[in-house]
Amino acid sequence: MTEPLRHPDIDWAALAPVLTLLGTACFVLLVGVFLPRGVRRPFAAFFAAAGLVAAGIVSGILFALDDEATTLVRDSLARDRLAELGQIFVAGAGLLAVGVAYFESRGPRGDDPRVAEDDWRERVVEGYVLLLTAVAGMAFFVQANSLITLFLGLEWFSIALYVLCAINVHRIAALEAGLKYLIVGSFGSAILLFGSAFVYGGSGGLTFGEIAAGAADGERLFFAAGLAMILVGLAFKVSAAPFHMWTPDVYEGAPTPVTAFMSAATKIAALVLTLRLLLTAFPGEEELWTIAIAVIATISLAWGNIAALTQRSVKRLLAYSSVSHAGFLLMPIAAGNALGGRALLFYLVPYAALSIGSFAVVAARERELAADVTLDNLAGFGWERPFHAIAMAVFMFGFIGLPPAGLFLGKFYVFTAVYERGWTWLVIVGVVATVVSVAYYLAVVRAMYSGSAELRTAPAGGSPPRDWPLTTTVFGCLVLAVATLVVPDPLVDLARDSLAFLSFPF
Amino acid sequence: MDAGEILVWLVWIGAATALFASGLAVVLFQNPFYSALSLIVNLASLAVLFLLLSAEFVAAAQVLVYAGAVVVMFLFVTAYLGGRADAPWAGGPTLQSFFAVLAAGAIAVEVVVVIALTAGDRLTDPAEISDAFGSPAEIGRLFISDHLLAFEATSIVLLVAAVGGVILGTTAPRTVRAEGRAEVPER
Repeated sequence: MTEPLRHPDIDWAALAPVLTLLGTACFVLLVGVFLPRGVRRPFAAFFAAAGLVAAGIVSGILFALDDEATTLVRDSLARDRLAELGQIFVAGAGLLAVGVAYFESRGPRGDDPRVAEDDWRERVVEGYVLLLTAVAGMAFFVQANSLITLFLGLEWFSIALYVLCAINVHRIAALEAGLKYLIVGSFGSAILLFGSAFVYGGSGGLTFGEIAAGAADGERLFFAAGLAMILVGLAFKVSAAPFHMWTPDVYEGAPTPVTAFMSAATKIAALVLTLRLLLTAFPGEEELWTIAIAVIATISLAWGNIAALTQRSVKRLLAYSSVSHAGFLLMPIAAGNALGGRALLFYLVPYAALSIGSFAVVAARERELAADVTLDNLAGFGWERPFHAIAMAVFMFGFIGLPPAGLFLGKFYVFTAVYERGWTWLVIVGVVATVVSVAYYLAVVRAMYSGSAELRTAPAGGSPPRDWPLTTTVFGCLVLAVATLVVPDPLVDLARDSLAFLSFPF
Repeated sequence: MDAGEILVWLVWIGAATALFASGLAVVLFQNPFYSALSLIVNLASLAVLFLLLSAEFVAAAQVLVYAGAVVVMFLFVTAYLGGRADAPWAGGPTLQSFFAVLAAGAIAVEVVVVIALTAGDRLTDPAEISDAFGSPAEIGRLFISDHLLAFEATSIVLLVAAVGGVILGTTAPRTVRAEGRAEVPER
């Protein structure tokens, strides 16, 4: 009992991105409450952006330094390029969300403006702090190398997101979104935790390496059941069908900047971690998980696209589009080959840009109408706000997989990876889903440029409020989306470098 | 049987009886306040059983976390909302109660099977654990060595949750004055 404690070595450098974000969050929270109301918003937004940029730079430096994968604190976390690239991605998504959230001031759906208007303004410091902690949680999550840190990271960013969804507490829709996300998210986490216990029981290991090593002499049934339950728990976060039922309601009810952030960043974190988990902890079960994920991807593509066809609310439409893209993003993981890994990492960047950008445009329209954006009240938008509408059109064409956005290449990579795996049927499913998706994405474009001649001269919402942070964000998303098509090589190289330490089963 | 063993048996019988009786009381009381109070007794007697099994840490955690924090929160909520929750079996059996009975029955069968196998020495492949397993010292040692990072991350998760709770729980004063909380649903 009296043997001396062996303290683990702590690699502070590898923890630096997470600590940067947490430190910034604490600073903003502690200082922000003492500032006069007038300067809180610029203060919180500036330091949130600065913290995210700093964390991204730290991760970038680590990415440049680490040419091999190591672990830290008794294998709890990984220090490798995949984690660092994931951290750069989530920090970038957070940075874009900072701009979208800046002038978020009112809740849609006919709330009394005198009441609802103040919600975000009153909580702007806390809102940005939660955004920072959510990104910190995701940065921790993508580094996770054991089932314990995986679960803790998941809860960490999920709790921050639950609160962010409900942060406009005077809007019933926001409270409903927060509560639904909390309950369904907790359900998913519980399944993941249950599965983790099975995997621990079946392999005797908690870290991914131990699980892979102990898989052979464990109870196969428990091990496979645990793997399936962990996949279900992660699928809830990715909002893949049939575990997507929370997505439309939460995306619609949450403040639009939060939706923009969630739709991109949660997917990035969960998918990067899924890739790491499956390749390092379950390399011997590759037949099982590739087929399981192919099935989930197929259901997501079918369900998301069909449900999106009937939506009138643009946020719900984009939510179902997000479900269908969960399918596209799971396809390269199902392929289980190195090309698939690269395709996933590539696809995530233009997807995040399109997703945040399109929700930002929805937020702009929401702010000028003070109502939920539907396909009907988008009418005339194209004439009133030419830049936003052109950007939205690019985003919609991008979602389909057409130029001038990088998702064109992303889809090409994904289909090639799946084809290389020998699953032509899955390629066909993807192509059919793409064709179906043309209908609802073009419906958005048509809605923006429709409307009578009257609408063209008399804007429905009066003169649009000036919202330069949001416009800058839309511009940034547009640049990112187009740049991934024009100069894809740097991103492809980054993806290749970050996967070099992993071995793929197929 | 020496005096020590007799004492253990007496404590076991006392704790087990209290556990059973308080468990029934939780379900049968009409007033949720009494149910919550019975739950404290239930958890405390369960903690005694854990102590008899040399699981000191679990016993302490049981009392601190469940009896101390969780049930006290139940009591607060009950006090806020008033003790007029639905009577548990009112309105006849529902699908939920059917599955609850089914799940409880499954657990009961499982417990009986395990006890019978253990009693007959027919449990194949039983776990081999050292004496120190589950002791507070051993758990503390794991917290500051192998699972140091998880331990620290847990505190951050709890901090985030606490900050979130405060954000959602407080209503900005100016907002309340503006319109008399028009958007808050009627309680």
